Amino acid sequence: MDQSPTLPAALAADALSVVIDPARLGFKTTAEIDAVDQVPCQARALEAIRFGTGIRSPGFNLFLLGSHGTGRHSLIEAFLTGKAAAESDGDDWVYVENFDLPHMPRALRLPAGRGQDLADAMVEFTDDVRTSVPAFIANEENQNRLRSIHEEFKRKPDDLIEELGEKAATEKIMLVRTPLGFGFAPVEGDEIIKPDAFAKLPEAERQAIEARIEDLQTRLQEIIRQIPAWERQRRDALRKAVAELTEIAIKASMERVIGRFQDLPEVLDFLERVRADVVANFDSIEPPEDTADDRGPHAGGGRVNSGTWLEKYLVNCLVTRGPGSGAPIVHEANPTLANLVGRVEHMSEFGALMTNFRLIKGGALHRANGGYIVLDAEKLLREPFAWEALKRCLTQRSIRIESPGELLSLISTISLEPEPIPLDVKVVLIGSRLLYYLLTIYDPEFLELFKVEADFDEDVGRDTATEALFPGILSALVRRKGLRPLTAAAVALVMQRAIRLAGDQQRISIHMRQLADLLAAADHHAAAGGAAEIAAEHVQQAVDQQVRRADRIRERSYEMITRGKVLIATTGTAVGRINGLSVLQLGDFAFGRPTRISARVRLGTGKVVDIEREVELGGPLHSKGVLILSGFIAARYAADEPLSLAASLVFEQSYGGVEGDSASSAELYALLSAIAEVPLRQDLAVTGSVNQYGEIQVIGGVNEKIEGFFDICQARGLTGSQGVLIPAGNADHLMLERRVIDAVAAGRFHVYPVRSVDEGLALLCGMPAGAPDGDGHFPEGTVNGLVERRLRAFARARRRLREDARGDADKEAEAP
Amino acid sequence: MTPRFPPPDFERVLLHLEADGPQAALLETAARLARALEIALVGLYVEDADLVAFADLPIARQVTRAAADIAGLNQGALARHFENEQARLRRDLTRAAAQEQVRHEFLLRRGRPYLEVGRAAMPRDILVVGTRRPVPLTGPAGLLASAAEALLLVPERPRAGSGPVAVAVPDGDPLERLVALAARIAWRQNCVLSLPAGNGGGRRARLRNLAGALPEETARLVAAALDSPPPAFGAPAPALLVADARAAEAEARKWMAAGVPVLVVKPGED
Repeated sequence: MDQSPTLPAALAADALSVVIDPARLGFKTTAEIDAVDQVPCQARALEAIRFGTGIRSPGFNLFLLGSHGTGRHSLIEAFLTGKAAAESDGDDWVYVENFDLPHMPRALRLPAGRGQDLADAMVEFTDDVRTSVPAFIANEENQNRLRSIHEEFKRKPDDLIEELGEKAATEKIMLVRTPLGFGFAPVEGDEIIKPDAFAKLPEAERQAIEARIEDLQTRLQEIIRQIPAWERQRRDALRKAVAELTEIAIKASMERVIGRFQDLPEVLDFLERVRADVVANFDSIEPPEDTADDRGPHAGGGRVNSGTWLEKYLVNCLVTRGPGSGAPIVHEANPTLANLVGRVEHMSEFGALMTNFRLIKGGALHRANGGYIVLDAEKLLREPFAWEALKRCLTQRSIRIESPGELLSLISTISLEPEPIPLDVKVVLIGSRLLYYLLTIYDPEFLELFKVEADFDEDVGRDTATEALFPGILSALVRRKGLRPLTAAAVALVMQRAIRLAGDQQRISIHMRQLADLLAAADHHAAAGGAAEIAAEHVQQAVDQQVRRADRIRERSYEMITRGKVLIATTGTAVGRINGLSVLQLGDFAFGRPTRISARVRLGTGKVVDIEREVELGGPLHSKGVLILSGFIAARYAADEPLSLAASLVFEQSYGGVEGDSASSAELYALLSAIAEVPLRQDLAVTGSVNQYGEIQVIGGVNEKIEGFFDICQARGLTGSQGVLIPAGNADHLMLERRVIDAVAAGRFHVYPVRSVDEGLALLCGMPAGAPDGDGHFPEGTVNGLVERRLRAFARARRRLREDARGDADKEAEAP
Repeated sequence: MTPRFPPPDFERVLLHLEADGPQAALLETAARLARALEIALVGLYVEDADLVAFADLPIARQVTRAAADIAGLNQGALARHFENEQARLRRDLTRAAAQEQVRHEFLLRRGRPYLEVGRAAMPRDILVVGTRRPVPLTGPAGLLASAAEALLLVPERPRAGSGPVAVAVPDGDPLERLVALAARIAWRQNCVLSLPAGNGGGRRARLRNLAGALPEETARLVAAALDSPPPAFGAPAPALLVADARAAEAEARKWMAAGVPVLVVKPGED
C-alpha cells in the first residue's frame, strides 16, 4: 500500500503576512504618546555599554558592532551624555617651555579652567617684562650704574697703557699711537729723536735705548694680552648687574602670577624657572662694538627689541575646559593620525622650517582625556598610522605626538618631542560585525584593548511588549527628525514594513536608518498633500516610490520574461524542467526572479554534472547543494547497486553567478522528473534547499521569491492554478505584499508549504510520490517507483555493457 | 627786537676728526649742533707728527692692539694709513653734514693733534672733541685756552633718548648768555629746557627778565623751565649740558661719565 504523504494544503491568505490592527494601538496619532528611545530593544548592547563605561580598568574599551543604521551612534551619544555630565571635569593641559631641554616641551596638568588662567597670566607677565623692565633698566640711576661698570672695565687698559707711557717718559721714551697699536720712541727734548741723531748716538747708548724699548714693549704686550680677560669681566659684571636689576623689575609681576597659582606646585616650579630664565637672559645680547648703534651697554637693540624672545614664557593651552562641564565626550569624524594624537606645526622662517612649543596642536585624544572618545572603526583603520597610534596610546596610557614623517624616518630635521601626556580615556569604536571579527582574528592586540563588545540587534522578537514599545520609538524618531506625527494606521503600516524588513513574522526590525528614511519620505508625501499628519497612504506611497526608484532592473528582467526572451513557462507541464526562484539584491532593494532549471539524464557512472560549477559560474554553496541531492538519489533509489546515471543540471539563460543552495530542491525535482520521465507542472515555482534525507529546509528571501513569480504570472494572467512551493519552515517568514495576499484570498494564486521532497513531487507531478516498502522499493504508479525502475534499468544496461566489453576482450585475447 | 642778552654768535663748529675713535656719535652730535645754530661744520684731521717721526726711526716697532704682537712701521705704510683715514673721515663728514643739511669743510694739518686743533680754532668757533682719550682742557696748551669761544665735549658713548637741554652754572654766577644759547639749541632740537636750581643773586628774576627779552619760541621754553618742578628721581638725563667754563671741568667730567655731551662756554659779558 502506498504510504505517500498527503498533498500539502496551500496557505490561507491570512497566514501570508501579519496585519497590525490600528484600532488596537490605542491612539490616534503619535503626538498623543510618549517618545520611547530604542534602548529597551538593545538591552544586550546597553548592558555591555554600561559595563564597559563603568569599569575603569585598562583595556576595557568598547566596540559597538552591528550594521549601519541600527542606532549605535545615537544610543551611545545619549548614554554618554547622561553619564559624563555627572562625572568630574577633565583636566586642562598646557605645554610650556622646557628650559633644560628646549626640544622637549613640558606638559602641565591644571584643574579645569585654570589652563587659560595661566595662559592669560603669562601674557600679562610678558607684557610687563616687555615694557616695564626695559624702562626700569633705562632709569637714570640704573643706567649710571651700568655705565660706570662699563667705563671702569673699558678704561682699565687705557689707564694702564697711559701709566706705562708716563713711566716711559721718565726714561725719555715716548709712547706713540700707531695705526695698529702703540710704539715706543726715544725722545730728545720733547721731540722724537731724528734718525740721524739716533744713528750718531754711541753704540752702547743705542743698545741701552733699544733694551729699554724692548722692556716697555714686553710690558705693553702683557697689558694688551689681558684685555680679553678684562672684557669678559666687564661682560660678567654687566650681566650680573642687569640680572639684579631685572630681578627687581620683574618681582612684582611675578609675584602677582605666583599668587594666582599657589595651590599648584607644578605651576610654581614652572614660574620659578621662568623667573630664573628671565633674570639670566634679559638683554644678554649686547650691541656690537664700534657701530652706529654703539650707544652704551643697554641702550637698545639686543633681544628686548626683537619682540620674540619673551614668547617662550607664554603658555600653549592644548586643552581647556569650563569648570562643571563634566567629563568630555569627543566624536572625531575624521580620525587621521594628526587629528587623533595632535601635531607639531612648522613656520617658514627665511626658507627654513622652524617650530616651537607654541606650535603644538592637540588632537581628539587630548580633548577626550578624562572622558570618552567615539570613533568610526572603519575610518580609523583607513587612515595611515592612526590605528597603530591609537593602540600605542592606549597601551602606554599616554599621548605621544608623532608625525608620519618621523614614524617613517623621512624627516631628519630637528623637531620637537613634546612630553607625553598621561591618557585616561574610554574609547568607543563603532563598526560592523565583520570588522570586529576580522580584528579579533588578525590583530592580536585588539582584544587586549577592546575587551567589551556591544552587539546591536537589527531586529527584535515581536511580542506584545515590543509591539507596545514600537509606536513610542516611531514617535521619538519623528520628533527627533522634526517630522509630522503618524496616524495609528500609518504606525501599523510602518510596523508591518518593519516586520517585512526583519523577514520574519516573529521579529520586527529596529533598523533605525531604514525606518527614518521611510518616515522622512512619508512626511514628504504628507507635506506635498498638505496633510498635518503622516497617514497610511503616505507610508504606502513612500514604500511604492522607494520600490519604483529602485526597480528599473527588475522591470527589465520581468519584461524579458513576459516577452518570451527569457524562457519561463507558467502553464503546462514539462519533463526535466522546473521554475526555480532566485533573489537579486541591488543595494537596499531585493527582488525575486524565476529561473528555469533543467536536467538531462543518460546511462553513466553515477555522476551528476553541475554545469554551473563546470563553467565556474556556481559558487561553493550551490555545488554543495548539488552534491547533497546526488547523495540523496543514490542512497534512496540505488542503495544496493551502482548508480549508473549521468545527469546534467543547468540554470537556463543564467549568465551570472549562482550561489546558495535554495534551488537544490528544484534541481532535485527536475532531475527526478528527467529520470522518471514524468512531467512537472510549469505553473508552479519552487524554492527550498534539500538535505540528504529529502527534507526541505528553510531559505532566505522567501517573500521576494514568491512575489517575483507572482508578478510574472499576473503579467501573463493568473490561471488560478499557479503558485509557489516554499519550505514549510519559511511559512512564518511570510510578509507578502497586498497584491499577492489578495490573489491568494481570491483563490487565484497559491503558496504551498512543503516539508519533504515527496510532498513536492506529488504537487509538481500530479501523481503520488510513493513510499518505499519494507525492502526499500517503491510502488508502481508513483513518481519514486518510476525513478527506481529507470535507475535499475540504467544499472542493468551498464552491467550488460560491461559484460559485452569483457566478452569482446576475451575474444581478442583468444584470437591468433 | 634785539635781545638784551644775545647768545654767543658762532660761525663754525670745528670738529676734531679722530683717526682711531668711534666717529659716528661725534659726527652726529657736531652736525646736529651746527644745524641747531645754523652754522658750518668743519672737520679737522691732524696727521700726528710724532707718528711720522717715529716711522723714520730704524727701531720703529709697534705692539698691535689686536694680538699684542710686534709689527714694523715705515713711512710708506704710514702714508697709506693717513690716506685711508682721511678718505674715510672725509666721507663720514660729508654724510653727517648732508643728513643735517649744513655746510661743511674738511681741513688737514700735521702736528700734535690737540695742539693743532687749538691752533686751528677761531674766536667764533665751537670746538668739538671726543673724550675717548683724556682731552687737555686747561693750561696754556689746553683747549679752553684756544681762540674758540666754546668747546663741545662728546663722550665716547653718548646716551640715546631725548632728554632736556640743561644749563649748569654755579649758583650766583651770571647765566643769561648760556640760558639764551641753551634755549635756542633746545628749540631747534625740539627739546625742553632745564635750568639749575637755586636763586643766588636773584637768578630766577633775572631769568624771567631774560625770557621777556628773547624771541617768543625760546622765551616760552625759558618760562616753562622756570615754572617746572625740579627733575624727579629717574627723570631722563639731559641730551646736552651747557656749562660755564669757570666751573665746568668737574661738572663736565661728571656728566660726560654719564654719557651726556657737555658744551663748555667761555665767560662772556653778561
